[in-house]
Formats: sequence, structure tokens, C-alpha cells
Amino acid sequence: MRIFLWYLLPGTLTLLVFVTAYFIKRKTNIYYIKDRVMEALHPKQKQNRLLFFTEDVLAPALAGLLVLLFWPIFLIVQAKAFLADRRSTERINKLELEPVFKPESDDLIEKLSLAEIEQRSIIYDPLKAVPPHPFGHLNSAWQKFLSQVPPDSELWRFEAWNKTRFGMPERLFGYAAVRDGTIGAHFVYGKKLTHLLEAKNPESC
Amino acid sequence: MTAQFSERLIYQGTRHPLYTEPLSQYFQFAGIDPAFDITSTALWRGYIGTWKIIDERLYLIQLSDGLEYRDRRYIEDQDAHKSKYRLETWFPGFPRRVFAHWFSGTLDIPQGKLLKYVHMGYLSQFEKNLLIDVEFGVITNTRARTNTTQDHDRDASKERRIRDLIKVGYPDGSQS
Repeated sequence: MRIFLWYLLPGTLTLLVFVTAYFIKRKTNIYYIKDRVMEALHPKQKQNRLLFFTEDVLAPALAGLLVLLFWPIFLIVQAKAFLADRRSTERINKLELEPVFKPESDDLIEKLSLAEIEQRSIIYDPLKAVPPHPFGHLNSAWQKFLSQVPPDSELWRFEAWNKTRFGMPERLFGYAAVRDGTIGAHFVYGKKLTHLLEAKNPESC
Repeated sequence: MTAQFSERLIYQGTRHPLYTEPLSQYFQFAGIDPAFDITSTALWRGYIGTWKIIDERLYLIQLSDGLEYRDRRYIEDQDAHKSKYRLETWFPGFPRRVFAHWFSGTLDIPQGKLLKYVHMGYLSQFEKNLLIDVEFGVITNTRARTNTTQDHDRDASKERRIRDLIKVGYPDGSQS
């Protein structure tokens, strides 16, 4: 009997913690809000004593009793739900931030030196509304790409097909770092949707 | 999704609505998440860009938040908010005009009477669309499209497909 009482002690604490958390958070709980709105819209339902007893007294009491008796299972289920929710949030964040596109070896067009790339990527504008640096307003992104390139890598120009989030085909133009045959970091500076593709050199501007 | 406020384009001395967002390509290539304040469900991108075509080249000349003057008082950090809408914040050294060399695509300019209002994105139909093709910031072609009742039906079908896509999820299985 004593062992059983000692077993119920953590169950009681668990029940107290979760009931307290429920009452603190319930004003933001969607089901609580929905119930209050439904009560306001259908006040006559409050007069149904059986329904009131079942929903507001019997069900919570049964739930509390189950938590008290089976608190280890309850805690495991809550912990699993918490971890699953966190993994799901991390996965969604990763999907949004992680680039989906990566060039492949068939996309590589020509190997170029850094000096050649930077020389041909200076953008001319008669109104001088672009900085005189490689890739103009995208120079910061270019410098960030270069900082990720290992010293013994080759730089290759690429053109690659990609699909937008809504399935539209597009052609991407950029440069990739290749080391020992493996494509590493890449930098995209332009794209064209299919219907605008021409044989024109994309870097002439 | 609510119909969105359009961008603005000054072309041949006239101000037009613009159903294209050239700045989004810049943020994509630069790897920047601008985190503009979303002040309205009709402005999910958080900014309205004003563009100008000068000598067949596309320039960004202004960014704005789309708010009425009296609504700005509800913004907590006014300085940080204003800073986001200065061109120089995103393009250091260029406070008044930025050549949009990163952009390739078609500038879609709706013209004429509104034929059909669609409460989603830029799907509303007008009598005509002026389409300006741009490659790396330089205008390459200008064309026009006249919309008819048949176009309404075809576009209504396209709209239904887009709604289904949003309901079901993206092609990779993720949900919106």
C-alpha cells in the first residue's frame, strides 16, 4: 500500500503541473475559444445538464484519474509529442532556408580563372547606378561564395535547369567551385524563364 | 490569399501598376531574408517597389511600406522600420537609383478596365496586359496581350488549378 502511495505522488505532481499549465494557457487554446464562442451563440445548450456534466465534470475527472494512475505513460507521450513538434519545426525551417538547387557535372560549361570571371562580370551602366565591382549589386554574395571556396578548387561557369516552387522551368546561370571532381559551393547571378531563353551570351549587358 | 498591392512602374512618363516583383530575385541571389514588416494581408512581401525604365534599362527608385501616414504611429521601432525602406540599406552607396542588373523576366503591366476581380495574388484580369521582357536589367522586347472572355475561362481554370495546388500542397509534398 505504501509503495502504491509513493507511486501516486509523482502522478499527483504531474497532474497538478499540467492542470496549472492548462488554466494558464487556456485563453489562447483554440478549442477553449471555440467552446466559449459556441456557448455565446447557443446559450440554450448550457441548460443541458447531462451534456454539461459529461463535458465539464466527468471527462476531466476521468482524464485526471488516468493521469494519476498511468503518469509514466502520460509523461512519455507528452515528451514524444514535444520532440516531434520540435523536429517538425526544425524540418520546416530547414526547408525554407536550405537551397534546393545544386548544379551537376553536366551543367558545367567552362573552367575559368578568378581574374577572368571578375573581369567579365563588371557591369556597365550609363547612369552609374551599379557599383564597379564584379557582379555589381551582388558583389557581397560573390565575396561570400569565394570565402567558401577551398584554395585548390577550380571555378566553373554553369548553366542549369531548375524548377521554381510552382513547377515553372527556369535556367540558372552561375559559377561553381569544383575540387577533385566534386562540386562544392555555387553562386547564381541570373536566371531566365523558359520562354525568354535565347542563344545570347547572358553576361553581355 | 488576398489580392496583393502591385509594384509601380514609371514607363514612358506614365505611372503603371506592375504585377511583377523584380526585387525578389535580388534577395534570392544575394541570399538575403529581408524580413520586411508585414503590415497587411494585401502586402505579404512587406514592401512596394517603384521602378523606372530609362533608356531601355530597369531601375529601382523607391521602396515604401504601403502604409497610410496615420497607421505608421502603431509601429514600435520607427527608426528600424524607416531604415528598411531606404534604398541605401540594401544597396549601400545608391540612395536614389539602382540598376536592376540581376533581373531577367517579364514585367507584367495590367491596362484598361478591370474585367474580373480575383481575390488572390495578381490574378485579377484587365482588358490588356503590356508585357516587357527584360534580360539582366535591359529591355529586350515589348508586347501586348488583349484579354477576352475566353481568356477569362482559361484563366479561371488556371486559377482553380492554383487553388487546388495550394490546398493539396507543393509538388515536394510540403504543405503551405
